[in-house]
Amino acid sequence: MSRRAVCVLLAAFFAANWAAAIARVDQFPLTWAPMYSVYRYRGTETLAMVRKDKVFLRERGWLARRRDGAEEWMPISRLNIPMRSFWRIYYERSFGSGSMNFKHANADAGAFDRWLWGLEPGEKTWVVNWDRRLIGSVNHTLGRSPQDPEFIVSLAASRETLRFDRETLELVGRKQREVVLRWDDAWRGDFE
Amino acid sequence: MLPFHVLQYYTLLGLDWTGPKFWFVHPIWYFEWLGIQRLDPALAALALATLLIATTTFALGYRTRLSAVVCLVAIALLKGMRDSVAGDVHHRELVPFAVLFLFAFSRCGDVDSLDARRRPETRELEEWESSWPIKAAQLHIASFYFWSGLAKWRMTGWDWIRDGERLQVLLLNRSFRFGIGPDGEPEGNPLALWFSHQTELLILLALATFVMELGFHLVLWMRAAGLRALFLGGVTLFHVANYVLMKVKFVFLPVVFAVFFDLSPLLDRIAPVLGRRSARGTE
Repeated sequence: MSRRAVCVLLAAFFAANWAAAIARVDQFPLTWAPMYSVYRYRGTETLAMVRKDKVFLRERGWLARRRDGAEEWMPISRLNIPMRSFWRIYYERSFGSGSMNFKHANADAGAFDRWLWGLEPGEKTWVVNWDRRLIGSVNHTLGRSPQDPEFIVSLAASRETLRFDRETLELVGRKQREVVLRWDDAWRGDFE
Repeated sequence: MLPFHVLQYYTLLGLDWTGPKFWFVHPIWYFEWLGIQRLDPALAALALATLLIATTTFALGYRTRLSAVVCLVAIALLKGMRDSVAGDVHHRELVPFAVLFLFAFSRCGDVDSLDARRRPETRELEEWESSWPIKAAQLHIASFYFWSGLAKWRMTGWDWIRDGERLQVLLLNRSFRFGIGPDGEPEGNPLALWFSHQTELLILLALATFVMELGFHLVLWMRAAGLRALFLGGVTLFHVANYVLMKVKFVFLPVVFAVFFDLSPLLDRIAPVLGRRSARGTE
């Protein structure tokens, strides 16, 4: 490459990278934020953690209800994905939590950022229907179509939240929460 | 970079090659463009093997630029397959990817390489030709850390430091994310639990992280090699601690810091052993 071509390449390379950082473009290989940059101080006396039960995910996973009314478990072996991915899907996406990238994109970064992306205060950049994505994904993986009696129409998940005292870090409470994701036949187009 | 890549993608090797091919929940943008919808475990294993071979040939200087391009394609494929399952996009490959990208356009491999033995260059490298990819990589690495600090400042501000709560939450999460054992101890990392008790230390670490990230560009102006080594050693310790305490897999990233050091004295020493010309001898 000539010296001039190298200069053009570097100008384009750094312009793209820095523009992405300023405009908050978070698409590999461009980014503006690391995983753990978004946080709001709670100042509470207790802190809550979601327990990831790997044994449960290996043996059971989601409780799926089929169109014919039958129920079946959906452990990790039926999906054939890494455990880390499954716990993110099961314990986060099932409960409406997107990835860190979603949190970055949806965090309000001030007036300049809202102006740049045409957002109103409080408006989210990324909104995802996790029910549709997760149920669609499981059915696609298992090769089931919406007209099949075996087609999965709901997925049930549960998780336990442990609550710790901030001073002593002793366990002060446990809370169980269940959620059911439901299929809507208006989404049949996803299988065409 | 071999252990770095293995650490990023080894989880894909445990999948059943003959099992179902998972339909991605949230495909990465270029998978959407290309219409790649499923995780193919055999393809993932093949891509990882290709990446490791290409990384080795790149290091040896065999078809160096082609090896860099193969690495880029393999990383994009592996990263897409891993991250598209749940929609998380991890940033650990950003720096190696950018550095390989820059090297792919350079004349790397023209000296002190198997390529140079195979096909000796008739024209010597000019200084700017050998230095620009290294200087550009240095600037990119420094910018990467700077953006991290800037993002924390823009989105979280002092909340990232206040009372050490942010780090405490992260460490507690790593300790207890797999629950509590019968003995009442965390199923996760007990060392992380010990650290999460040290509030003052957490405030100091959070502050140090801010200073390190926002001040990383200063390393570009450090003339003294000892001072550079001290700073980069501190950053390396930061990544090692992140891995030990929180399983953040940047642990092998500091190998890219090699671009901040002049390695020619080292090459001078080992060149006689390898029977090759030293980097200095080619100038």
